[in-house]
Amino acid sequence: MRGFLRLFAFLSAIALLVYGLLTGSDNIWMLTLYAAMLPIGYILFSMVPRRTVGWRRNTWKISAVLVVGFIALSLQLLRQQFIVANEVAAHPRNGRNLTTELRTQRGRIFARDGTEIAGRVISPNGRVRRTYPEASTGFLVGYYNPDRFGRSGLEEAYNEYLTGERGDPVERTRATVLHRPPRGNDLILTLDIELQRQADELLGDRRGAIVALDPKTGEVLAMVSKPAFNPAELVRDPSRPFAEEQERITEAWERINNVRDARLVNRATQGLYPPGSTFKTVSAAAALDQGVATPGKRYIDTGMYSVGGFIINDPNRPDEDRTRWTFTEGYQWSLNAVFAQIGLEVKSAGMREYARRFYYERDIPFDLPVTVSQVSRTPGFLSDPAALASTAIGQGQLLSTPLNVALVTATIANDGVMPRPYLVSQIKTPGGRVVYTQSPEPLQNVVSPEVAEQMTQIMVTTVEKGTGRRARIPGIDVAGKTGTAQLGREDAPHALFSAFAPAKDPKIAVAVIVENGGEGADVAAPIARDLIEAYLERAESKGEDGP
Amino acid sequence: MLRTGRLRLVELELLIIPSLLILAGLTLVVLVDRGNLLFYWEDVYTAGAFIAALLFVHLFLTLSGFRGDQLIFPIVALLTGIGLVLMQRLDVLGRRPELPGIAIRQTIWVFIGVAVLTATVALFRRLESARRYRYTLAAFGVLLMLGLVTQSPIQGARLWYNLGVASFQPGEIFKVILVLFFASYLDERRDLLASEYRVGPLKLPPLPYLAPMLTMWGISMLVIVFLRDLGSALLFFGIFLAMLYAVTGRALYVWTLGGMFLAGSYLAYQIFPHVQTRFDTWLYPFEDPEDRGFQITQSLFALGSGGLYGSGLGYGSPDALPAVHTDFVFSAIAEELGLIGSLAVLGLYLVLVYRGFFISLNARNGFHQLVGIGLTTILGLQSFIIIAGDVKLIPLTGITLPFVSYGGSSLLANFVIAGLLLGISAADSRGRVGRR
Repeated sequence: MRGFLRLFAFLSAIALLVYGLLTGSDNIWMLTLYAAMLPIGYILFSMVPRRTVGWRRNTWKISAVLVVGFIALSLQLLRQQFIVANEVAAHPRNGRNLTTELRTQRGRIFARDGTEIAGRVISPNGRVRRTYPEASTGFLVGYYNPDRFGRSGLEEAYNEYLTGERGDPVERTRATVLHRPPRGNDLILTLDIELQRQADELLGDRRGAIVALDPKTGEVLAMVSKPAFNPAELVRDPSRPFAEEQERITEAWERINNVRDARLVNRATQGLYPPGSTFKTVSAAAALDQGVATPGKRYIDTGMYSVGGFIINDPNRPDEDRTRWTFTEGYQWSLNAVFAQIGLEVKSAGMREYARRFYYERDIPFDLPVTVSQVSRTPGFLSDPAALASTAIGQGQLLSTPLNVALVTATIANDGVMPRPYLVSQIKTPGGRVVYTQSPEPLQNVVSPEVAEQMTQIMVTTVEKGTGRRARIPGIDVAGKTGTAQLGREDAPHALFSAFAPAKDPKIAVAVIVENGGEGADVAAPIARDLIEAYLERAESKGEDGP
Repeated sequence: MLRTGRLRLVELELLIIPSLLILAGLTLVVLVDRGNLLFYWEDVYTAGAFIAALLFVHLFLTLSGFRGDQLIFPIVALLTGIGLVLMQRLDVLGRRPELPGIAIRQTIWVFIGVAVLTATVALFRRLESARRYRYTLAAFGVLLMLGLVTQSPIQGARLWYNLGVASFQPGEIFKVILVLFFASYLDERRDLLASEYRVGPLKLPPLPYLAPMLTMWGISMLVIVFLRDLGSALLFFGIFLAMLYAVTGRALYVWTLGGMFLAGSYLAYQIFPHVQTRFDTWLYPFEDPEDRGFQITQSLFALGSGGLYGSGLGYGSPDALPAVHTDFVFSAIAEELGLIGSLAVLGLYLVLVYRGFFISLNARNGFHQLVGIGLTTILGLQSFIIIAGDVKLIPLTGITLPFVSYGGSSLLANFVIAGLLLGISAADSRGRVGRR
């Protein structure tokens, strides 16, 4: 009987403790811990030898009470130092985390050719200071300011690798046991540093974004967002007076956080712009892929088109006396009346279907946060023919990230398959072992290779003889599309251009957006041309030198 | 000439552990600070002196023909050694203004403490006079405590007499006086246990019990109200309850008095904002981690950051904790030595408590039995109260961790307790040591 009671008491104590541990709440755990001490006390009391009587027996019991107290202490220690230890220690108020972070030899970040774009300087006292030798990559790398403002960009997205928490557990454990400063892993990006610098320069002081991809692999070759910031401004220089530095950093932080400039927004992946006529690539590809149109199909364009009382103006015709235009010419001259009709042929379900295939309304997997591009804001918007027609010409409620615009072009360049974009290709431990690799992957079969080939032809024509003439490069077939997003009467329109080249064997796809820049054909196309030309020239000279 | 039977070999062997600990610990702290493996002989002078002091006590006990317990002293030495290493660590590597200089002061107090322990054992026979003059002793103790009201509170509690160069904490010596007084008082009245006292349907304990019960409850409440010291009140009351229970074996007394203590505490909670704060920060420390919950959340961070194996001696940040050398010394151990280290220290106290009760059960003299039980309860209960406060098991109170915390009064009182326990373990029925 007694043995049974003891067993029961023991089991109920265990059950209480397990329940308390699993609930996770501090105070419920304390309650169960107290409650569990009653059966444990019973067990200890029942273990006092029967022959012990009088004051000796009393003394046994006093000691049993103390032992119960020490058991409770041990259990509480077990919980606080083992079971919930990491959780408690990770609390932001725990100053030790900052101390560790300041000692951590944070991983470096390199461009694809090994150019260091985020480095570190270790002072003799073990403090680690971040360096950013490449001003053009500032916003992409993000800032790193552990004591006050935290992190952004790649510094945030790959923080666990950069600190070494992820990567090589053996190295991590060795550092902890030997009290060596933790060492982080290095990131190797797909970025072509010369293209990046050039893109940064070409955009200059203008607001906007540039994305350049390798259309066959999805590697990001350049990514620029303006206005940008230099993360080096948020790094404290330990050789200067502390208070002075704090003040300087506070000022820099306020400048970076200025609402009007929104420097912390990576416009390339988080900026939403009306895509304008560049969206005609989506409409055209949808029409061809669905078989509702062919490149030679003829449309009537009288300078305007009326859908259910809604008038779509077409100021883009190069010859105002001509009323019959082909599908190809419609794209080439960005004719709104033609594309309104194409939109109606594609129908609202088809339009949405193809927009989604081009990753509108879907999360684009990427190394940095990407905002989802929008087809329509109000539900059922596309079922209205007027709305469908204006969506087909790139107006309506369309909003697109520059990355998405670049991916649409890259899809045409890549035989109708959208590549998965990526920026981080490898992560290496301090010892040089590779712990992470991203290889090229297809993201989505969007249109058939035949349609992609037809679209390529049309886009080449557009640069040869159409609106994209300012992107022509002698000796190279460039395929492209202009876009001009009207914003209203007062502001100048956003200038857009997206292109890829060479048409036969695409090596680079570019999307350029200049906020309030004016006409895409005049402002954005030359930027794309310069980038493509410089990149292909370098690729060629490298190809000759290399194997 | 010495006969082998008188050699205290167990004690000598066990003393190797604190000797190695202090040698390794102090050296480690110095090396961590220096950042390389350069080593100077000066670094081990303190450790050497400590080891010499241990050997001195051991030789004194051996040569004086002492036949008492051989475990108490090594455990006390080990705990003291841990405390010294920790004070050295906080002194050298700590970044709090109150920390520099604590190592040398603690070391001096330890040497005085060792002398006090030796003297206590040597003069153990004189304990009889404490028995005889118990009322004088008790009055002296109560006066000491009452005098505290004249002092201005430090961190909300009146615990210290400010003596200029040093401060004296009378609570530390008062608890020993309490034990001696109760042991003597209760021992003489053991036989009254059977008698009862009826008032109508109520069965009351006999007057010789009732009077001290109410007095003791009153004293504890006064300590809470006037000295604002919850920890000491709980300790004094716990000692009394344990001793009363040892003599009477009446659980009813314990429940009633315990309930009264709780009721009194609840009243204090309602009336005094500082008591309320103590309880609220205990239950919801993360609601105000910057101000009122600061101490306990920092202690929990120390425990969590230490984890299973600890950060290693000198590699944690226990100096993030206020009062780390006194109230939060256990959290510092837990952070740098991990769960393994903190459980080991708990284990040491448990062995000490076990040894204390063992000695009490084998005492030849009723007075000694009760003194032993009372003193052992002090060691066990006091370490429980402060550790439980550190790990958020009970509201935090400001009492010391025996033998480890920084502070002269506390160290001396604890060495007296250790000396008395040693004396009891060797005394015969007439209180004479060594000829048992």
